Amino acid sequence: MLMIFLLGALKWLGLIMVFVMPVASLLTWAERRQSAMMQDRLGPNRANIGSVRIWGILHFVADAVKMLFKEDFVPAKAHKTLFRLAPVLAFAPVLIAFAIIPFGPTIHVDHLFKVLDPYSAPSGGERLQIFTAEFGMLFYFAIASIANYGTTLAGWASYNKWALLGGLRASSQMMAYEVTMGLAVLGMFLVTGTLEPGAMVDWQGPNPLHWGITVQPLAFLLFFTAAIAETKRAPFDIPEGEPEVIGYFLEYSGLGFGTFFLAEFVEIVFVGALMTTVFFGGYHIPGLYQNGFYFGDWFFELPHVVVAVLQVHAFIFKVIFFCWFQLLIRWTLPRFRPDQLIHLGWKKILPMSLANVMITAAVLLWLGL
Amino acid sequence: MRTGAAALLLVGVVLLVAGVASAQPGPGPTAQIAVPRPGGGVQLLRIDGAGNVDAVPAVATDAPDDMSAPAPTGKGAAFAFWLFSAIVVGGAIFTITRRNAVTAVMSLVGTFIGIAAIYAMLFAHFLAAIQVLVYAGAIMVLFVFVVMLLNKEEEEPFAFRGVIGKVLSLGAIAYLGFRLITLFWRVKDDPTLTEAAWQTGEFAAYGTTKGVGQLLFTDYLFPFEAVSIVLLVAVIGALVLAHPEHVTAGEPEPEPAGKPPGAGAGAVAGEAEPHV
Repeated sequence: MLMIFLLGALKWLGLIMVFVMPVASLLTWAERRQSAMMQDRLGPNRANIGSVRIWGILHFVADAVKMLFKEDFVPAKAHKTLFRLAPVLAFAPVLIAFAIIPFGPTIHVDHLFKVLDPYSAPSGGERLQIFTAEFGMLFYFAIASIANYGTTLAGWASYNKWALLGGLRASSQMMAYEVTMGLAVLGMFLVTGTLEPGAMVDWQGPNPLHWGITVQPLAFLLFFTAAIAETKRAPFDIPEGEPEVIGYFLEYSGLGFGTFFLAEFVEIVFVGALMTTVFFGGYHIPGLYQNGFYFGDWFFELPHVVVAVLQVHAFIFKVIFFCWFQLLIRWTLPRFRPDQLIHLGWKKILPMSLANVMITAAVLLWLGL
Repeated sequence: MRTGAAALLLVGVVLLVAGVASAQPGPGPTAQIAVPRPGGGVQLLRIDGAGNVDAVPAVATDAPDDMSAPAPTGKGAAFAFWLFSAIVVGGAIFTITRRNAVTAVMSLVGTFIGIAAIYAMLFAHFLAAIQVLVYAGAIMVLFVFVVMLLNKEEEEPFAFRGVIGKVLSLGAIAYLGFRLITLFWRVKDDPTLTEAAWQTGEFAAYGTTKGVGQLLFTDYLFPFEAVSIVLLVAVIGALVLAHPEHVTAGEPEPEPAGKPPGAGAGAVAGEAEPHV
């Protein structure tokens, strides 16, 4: 029992502390730098320690230091407890949701330097996934729905009308798109026959023609759109639309704001990880099976440890690609109006995802699967 | 349109009545099944007409005193059960004693999450996830929504004040702490219950998404569909109430067009959507 906890803690450290948090921190810099490049500006390129100035990457350190030393101000009439609780409720669910993401293959410690049998894996082994549950995606939806409270309560507890409006906008948007998100990915559940992300990755395998993007392209488009709406970033950043309301975190300063800020970037990484897992074959590399590379007749044998390391890196690469892609979308598309947002969510994405489910089910029935 | 909605409502009610009347699964509205425990022995599970499954506490038959009986799942589970029970009951008490309505609603969210945890301990993992998703995540957010917008004055709830209240609450906390701590030596571990036994036993497939889904779409198909019609009726009813002027599009009403919309709901709906 203790072993299970230790392994879980180790995997959590490996995923969250070594991958997610650094990438999320770097994204705070990357977003500004990428937007600057897209708009023909220079962007933040000056943060340095002594003579070390790697394109200003250290800017995220400067940000963190600034937020740590700012006064953490609580408005006089704010509800103190809920005001403090809100950033935690916004941040914690995303980190918990990472538990269902498989970020690497099953590791067989005894077979590290051997070539695995291509058709059967040795029994046992430790999967690089913190929480394997057959209701995996439902767990994510449940946890994500808790994140609603973070934004709603932040708006209410601040005792500020703009913050309240921002919180209301945020929670109505998140609730609307939660429904469409669940329905959009339903087609993928039908095809793979499972809700467990690890099993979905296994089903997709190393053949890109078998990946979610190939078998369920519409589901990918709808799910990705809904997921971006869930992160509340442009073109779905109506909750923090600057011309009308400033946002539900209007009254937060110092680390309170920092938590909301970082939560947004952790959500970007999570959406990237989710897209990778559900639609882009997870940690699989095209042609890389558990005993080596196959390209047609050409075969290159690889030991287990090399395959595992390559696959973990493939996962990291795909997630970072999707992070970059989300930043690209954020700085390309203008913001929707609230009525357009609701129209898109309920009148376009919802019927399309329903049609996708129906057609997928009919095709599966016809194929006799 | 109004007649249409009323007809739909009628259909829903008739279907529901028919569904409840016809849904008599198995021997009766409540069935008990015995699931063999991985470590030997039998765990009784009670399934009622709505498909809810709960474990019949073995302690009631094993021993009259629940303090000295071996819990079916060992120290850890017993401790977790009491912990989650404390969250559930504490959250429920907070819900009815908080002055601030939003705090009360958040306490209720805590209660729901505790209930979900207890569902998970009863091997109803799917139900646990759905509990958090639907109740804690969706319905309570609506509650927070409404309470936030009403911005009601804080009220003074009934509360024990002074020495009596403090003594009573201290006593309750002390008793709960005593129960929680004594669990560690009172509850006996079942040595046959290993991790492998859980994963390969009957419970491995019990309460899963697949299991619940198969029940819902075979034995309980009719009640399931009837309930969905009731929800549909509720949605249509809400639409009819919120947009009375939309109704005139299909069936011309006797009112003249120039007449201002009626008081109350009509005026409010007109404000909400000026382009209509």
